[in-house]
Amino acid sequence: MNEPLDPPDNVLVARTKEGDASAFDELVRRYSPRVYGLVYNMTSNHEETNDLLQDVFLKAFRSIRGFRGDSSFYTWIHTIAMNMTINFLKKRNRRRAMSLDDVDSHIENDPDYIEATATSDPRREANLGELQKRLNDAMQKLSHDHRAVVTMFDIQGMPHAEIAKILGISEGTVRSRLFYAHRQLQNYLEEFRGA
Amino acid sequence: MSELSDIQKLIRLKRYEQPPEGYFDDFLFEFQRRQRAEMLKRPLWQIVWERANLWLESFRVPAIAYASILVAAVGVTGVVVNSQNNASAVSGGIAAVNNPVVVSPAAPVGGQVAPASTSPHSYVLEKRPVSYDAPFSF
Repeated sequence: MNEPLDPPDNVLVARTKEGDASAFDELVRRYSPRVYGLVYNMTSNHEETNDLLQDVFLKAFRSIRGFRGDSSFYTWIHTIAMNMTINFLKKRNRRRAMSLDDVDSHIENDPDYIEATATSDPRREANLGELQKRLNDAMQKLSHDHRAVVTMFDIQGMPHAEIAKILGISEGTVRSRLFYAHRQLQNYLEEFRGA
Repeated sequence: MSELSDIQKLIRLKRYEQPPEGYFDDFLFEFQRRQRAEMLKRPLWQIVWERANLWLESFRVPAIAYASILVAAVGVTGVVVNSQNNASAVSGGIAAVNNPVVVSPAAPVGGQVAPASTSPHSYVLEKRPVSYDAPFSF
């Protein structure tokens, strides 16, 4: 995210405004994995994420003329994604079944995963699916606002300032929401916590 | 290691929940398909408006030129409306001169005004503007 992109986002945005659809395709290629992560960790459902992601980029394409460049394209597209996702979640009455068979196999090499599943008794018994289910359940128990900050900070590794810009809140509010969300997750994931 | 950072380490494992390989290529293809479909579904006026804007933009006309045109258009409209009002006022005045208004002089306070035809006394008011008279009559 910190390395310079070639061509820079603002050049691609300008080209899109001039009618070059391929420039917007490049922006989609560049940001769809990250925006996917944001939406998926809010919904915990791949199909819904796919539909929402299409809508997010279509809305961005329709609104690109109104994008003045006051913030980065990265912030702008994440703001659109977060607003649309929260609106979607408000409308969704029930939590759909989550697909549990598509975790990236690289997780098994992650030291945190090895530690989480091999140290104490409950962890020893835990398998990949169970751990993912517990994580998703715990995330879904959080309010939308708290889930949003956990997703962006803990999973996507965004800085507080960036999260504050995307959500339109102060950095202090981001920190307090994170603190409260971690306290809640602590209770939900008690048995998986490290020693 | 604090309890909270253990929770964070667990939650970070969710970054491995990724869509299948090749998903993002398919996503882009699907996006382009929907983009084209949406463009075809747009109403005609929107397409015409956008084309007109693009055509105007090709002249690189500065924004102040549009403002001047707008001001000129408003000015011309104002002049036309004003002259039409004047014309109708003048014709109304001429009509009034030709058809004097008959008014009853003794309208009772708080009472009904008797119809002009039944009132024995009446004055004729000429709506002829004063300026139409000769200024000096020696």
